[in-house]
Amino acid sequence: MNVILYRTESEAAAIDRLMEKSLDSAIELVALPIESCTRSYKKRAENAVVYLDCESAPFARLMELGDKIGEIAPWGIIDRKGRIGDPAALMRRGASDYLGPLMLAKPGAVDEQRLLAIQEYFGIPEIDEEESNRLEYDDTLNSQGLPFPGWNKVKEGKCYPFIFCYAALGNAAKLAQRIGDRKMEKLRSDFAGYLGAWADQKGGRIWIQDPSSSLILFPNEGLQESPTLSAFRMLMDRTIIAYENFRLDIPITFKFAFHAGTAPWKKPGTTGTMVSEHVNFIYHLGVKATDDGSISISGDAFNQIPKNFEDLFIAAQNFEGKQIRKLKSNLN
Amino acid sequence: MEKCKSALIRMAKNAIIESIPPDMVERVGKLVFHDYDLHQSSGFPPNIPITGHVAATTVVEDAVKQGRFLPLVEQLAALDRDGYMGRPFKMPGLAELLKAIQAEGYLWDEGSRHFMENPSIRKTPNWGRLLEEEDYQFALLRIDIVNNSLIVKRRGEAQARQAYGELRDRFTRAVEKRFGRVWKWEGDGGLAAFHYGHGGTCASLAGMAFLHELFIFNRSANILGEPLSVRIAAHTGKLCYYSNSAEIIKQETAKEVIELESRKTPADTLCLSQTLARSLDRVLLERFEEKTIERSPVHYYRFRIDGE
Repeated sequence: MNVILYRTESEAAAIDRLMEKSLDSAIELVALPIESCTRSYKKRAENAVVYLDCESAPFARLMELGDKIGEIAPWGIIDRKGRIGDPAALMRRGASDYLGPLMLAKPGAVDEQRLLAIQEYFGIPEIDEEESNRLEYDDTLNSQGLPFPGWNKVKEGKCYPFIFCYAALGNAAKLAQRIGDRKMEKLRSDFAGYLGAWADQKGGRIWIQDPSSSLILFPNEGLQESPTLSAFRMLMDRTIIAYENFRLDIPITFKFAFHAGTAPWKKPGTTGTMVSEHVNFIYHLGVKATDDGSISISGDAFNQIPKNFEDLFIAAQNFEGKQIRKLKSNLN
Repeated sequence: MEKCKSALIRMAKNAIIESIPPDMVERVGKLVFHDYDLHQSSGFPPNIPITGHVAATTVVEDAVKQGRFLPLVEQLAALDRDGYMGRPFKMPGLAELLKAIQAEGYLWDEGSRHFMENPSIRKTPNWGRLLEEEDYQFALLRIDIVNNSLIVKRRGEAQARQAYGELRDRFTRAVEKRFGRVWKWEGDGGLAAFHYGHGGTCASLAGMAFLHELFIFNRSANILGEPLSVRIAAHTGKLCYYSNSAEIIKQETAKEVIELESRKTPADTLCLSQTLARSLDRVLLERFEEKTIERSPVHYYRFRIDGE
């Protein structure tokens, strides 16, 4: 993991030295001109935390850059002069870190632990660096992936084409407030179990699960029913499912996001992490751009919408450079 | 249970002999049969005490003869669990008996404390244990395909029959998944019954699930080239069970659900009677819209996605 720092040349002398001191020796610092940010951040930001020096650009411009970077990676502000009166406001704007004068004065304050916590806050699961270095993946070089050979024959580390499905309970925060943490935890566990059986039945596999969502992989061909249609069925049946499977006496809903791309295969439960452009995207789409009671589908997965159901989906705002369609009405 | 294996009969007798005195056996008998008289049945004069062995043998054999072996075992299970008037009547042999019955293709429903046939082994209209001409509480689900004659005229009988057959299969799946049984299907409609669990809830959920299936069916598998519409109504009440469905639909509860469907249910709607709706949990009832039709309240459910 490394730190990318964007600053002007005129600030470079002061800020580079300060950053090097406050960074733990195990962390690599890559300092770049802030003028190159929009051109370079996409390539540089993978597996990194990006910092913007607040002396190097007007505040509005920093926020603009932050918005862009924030689509794919965690970013923070370096404020060596303590000019920002309300650092918490930065968090509300999407920043994941703030380094003020006190932190910058502490040698080794920005260490791996801090960076991992920042990534977790941002929503990236922890990376096992050794494992990820062993894997053969490069989303740009191997964009087709190998043909999917069946779940019994997939090989560790090999790249295959998948339909990625993000699934989560809808209105989770309100639900938790209403039923309490203990019951919410049970519901999440029950829902995860239900999704596992659902995915298996539909030809997919639960791949990554965290307390708030599941990432399911489907092969991109050979399925009896399109996963988007299966998800739509689940939304229609939400009342029935809640009552019969979870014994709930309150209404619930779900949300789904779909995307198509490739990913290197690792057995569920042994991955610990998987960070790739496609996996990042599907999480972002699910978390940031999918309404409760709805289904979002990226342009790469439009062909998963069965022809006779196309009219149920409408164009939504583009997200992270991709066309999106969503259900024309939320099922809450 | 059509034929009772001798091993089961022996286990039942032993369970009773070990744990229940003759006077209690007669009380159990009265719960299983109408006006049960142990002395009369055993042939012993009223002034002669009956041994535990004779009492057990008599009541078990009577139960087998009259097809009430399962109701007898259910009463024994109730006695084992609840005792009688503060007296416990634990039956050590009962657990083994229950397991042996389950091995014969029955499930023990802990909620209702009744046996029912294991649907993965067989599905019979009476769940393998309802008796002819006995009264039971049911929830009924009545379905009718809208404009059947027009469809047949427009598309031809063969195509209509094929499409209706597909609908029937989906309806049957929705019903049987909730321990219901389709008692009658006439080509363009039918009648299903629910007896186990909470019948009204099961009927409502089956109706809702079927309407969702219909939505998918019309867009994906309907060969007619025009959407099919149905009316579905659900109601609860007492019925005398007959294996001949013609005898069932003559009864009041069945007539009420048929009338509810034909006169008060719009197309593509599930309509619940007020009687049934009163027994539903609030979270389900909230999905329904209450209306007053001909001065009586009914409850409608439709699946719509905005713009449709």
